[in-house]
Amino acid sequence: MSRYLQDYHFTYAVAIVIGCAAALGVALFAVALARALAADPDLVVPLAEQAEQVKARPVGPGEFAPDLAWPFYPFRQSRADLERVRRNVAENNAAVWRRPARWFFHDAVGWWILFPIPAAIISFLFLASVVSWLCFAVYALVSTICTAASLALLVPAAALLRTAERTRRSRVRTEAACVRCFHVTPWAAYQCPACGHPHHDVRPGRLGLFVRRCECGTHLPTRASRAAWRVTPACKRCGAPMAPGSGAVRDIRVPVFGDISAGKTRFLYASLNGIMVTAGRAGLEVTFPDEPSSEQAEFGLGVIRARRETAKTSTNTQVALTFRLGSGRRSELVHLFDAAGEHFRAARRPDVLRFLDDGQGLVYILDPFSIEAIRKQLGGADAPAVRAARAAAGDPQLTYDEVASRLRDAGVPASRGKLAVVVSKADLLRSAGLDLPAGSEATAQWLWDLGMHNLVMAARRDFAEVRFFVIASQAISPGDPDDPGAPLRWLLRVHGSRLPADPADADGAPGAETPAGRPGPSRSRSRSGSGGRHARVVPDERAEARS
Amino acid sequence: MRTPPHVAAYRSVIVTITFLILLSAGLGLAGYGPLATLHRTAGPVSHDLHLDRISG
Repeated sequence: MSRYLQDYHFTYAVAIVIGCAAALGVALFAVALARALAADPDLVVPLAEQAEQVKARPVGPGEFAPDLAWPFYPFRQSRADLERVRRNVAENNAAVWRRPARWFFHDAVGWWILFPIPAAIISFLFLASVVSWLCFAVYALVSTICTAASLALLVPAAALLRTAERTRRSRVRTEAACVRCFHVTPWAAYQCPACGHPHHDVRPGRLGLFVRRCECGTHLPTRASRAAWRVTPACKRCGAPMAPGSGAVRDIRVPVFGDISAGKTRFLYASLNGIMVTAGRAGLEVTFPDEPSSEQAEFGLGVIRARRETAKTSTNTQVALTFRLGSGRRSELVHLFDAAGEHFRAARRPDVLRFLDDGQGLVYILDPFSIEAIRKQLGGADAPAVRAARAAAGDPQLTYDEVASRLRDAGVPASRGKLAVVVSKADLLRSAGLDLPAGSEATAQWLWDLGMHNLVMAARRDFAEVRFFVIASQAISPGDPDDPGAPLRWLLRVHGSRLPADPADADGAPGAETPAGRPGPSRSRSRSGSGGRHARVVPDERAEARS
Repeated sequence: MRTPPHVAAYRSVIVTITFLILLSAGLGLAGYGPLATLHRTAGPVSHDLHLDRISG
């Protein structure tokens, strides 16, 4: 044997045959690889990925199936590629072995008479198969290492980004509220601009770290803080489009409730007017992100500024007015909800009052003319002042109880909420000759003395913080007595809004003028309803200096 | 459905690394025989020329 090995005539021939077998093995692998990755790949499309995910973890009630987007290569496609290459290598080997196996092991056993030839062919093919599988082993090793390395980078990075996003969400208190169905979610669904498909969970993860690729091929940013500005946010429940920035900015929802003719709608417009003036003084822009809100605000502000009467809200009308305080990424979305008073008489039943459940601060409008003691003071229910006020007919306590019961039944933790009890129509009371208190505690005591002690006690028991305000729903300058913007300013402020709770704080800010461009009127520093202190009218120092 | 670019990129990287490893291994195996032969044939010649004694 050693003599044969010394003979290059033998050695070279064997080496060439071995080389050819190795080349065949490489070719088998190369063909398998080319077919698996280029000619006939097993592409894990988003729909298949989604089906796998749902099968592994069925979608629960209130949940959504994983979004239709291309998964990161290491998460799924690498496995599919590896499996396809393995199958192709096996198929190629089976193909080259098919005929020799039939010749030598099934049909033509007589070939064994010529023993060296079948042995040589089988050895040749065996070597080729071993080489092809060795090549596959190298490919599998490289693929596994690359996948593991990618996952080792991607998974912690995604976790880090998710944590950062979660921290931002809790710090800024971002949420997405739909003004059509009143559904509130931590973030909205974000629609692909090309195919319109909604992406319900844009957090960094297996579908992308910074961007994801929609099923249609369009790139979308991950993280709600980016997606909310670049693609259209939509409600996760009803699919209605939402304001740009929904889910990325502070979202404050203030439902207004009260009996029929208590003055809810007028308060809403008057307080909006006051907020706009305060925001203008503080240099904050107030805009309306959707057409219905813009039209409502234009109409309502026109009514308030022209001192016209407010029409009764129809029972079929849902008033949800959204405005944006500030601009850009630091802006805040404020939703004011109102509904006809008829709904609040049976507040536990209608689903149209769903906005009550997710309100961060509630405003209860109390018509003072519906209080029996007030009516008696003014000369009875038929007194001219009472008739002129078109007083709410029902017991104010009943409306409050209905809403409080609804919140309790819905499991809403009202004990963590804020309530502004607003005594409306202060201008009419004053014109009727009644003295009104100023300040939260004084107003509460005034209501107590008027026999509304149940309401005062229940409000303080049911909510974490209650403040009492006396307002006139007119175009009153912020800070003046009966300022209708005070309750809303307080609620916005306690929820972290940049709007100053005290209008005087906005004086030094740039743009301290009314929205119409006129300098703000001289203001007395009224503390109506703020800090629970009694109102103390302090003359404007500048006005004094001028005089 | 068209292959997304990130899938194509990942595949290219993995195939390139695999190719380089196989190429190195192939060249190593293919080159071993000729080198060994060269060493065997060059050995007697260097002895004949006393190349191993030049430095001494």
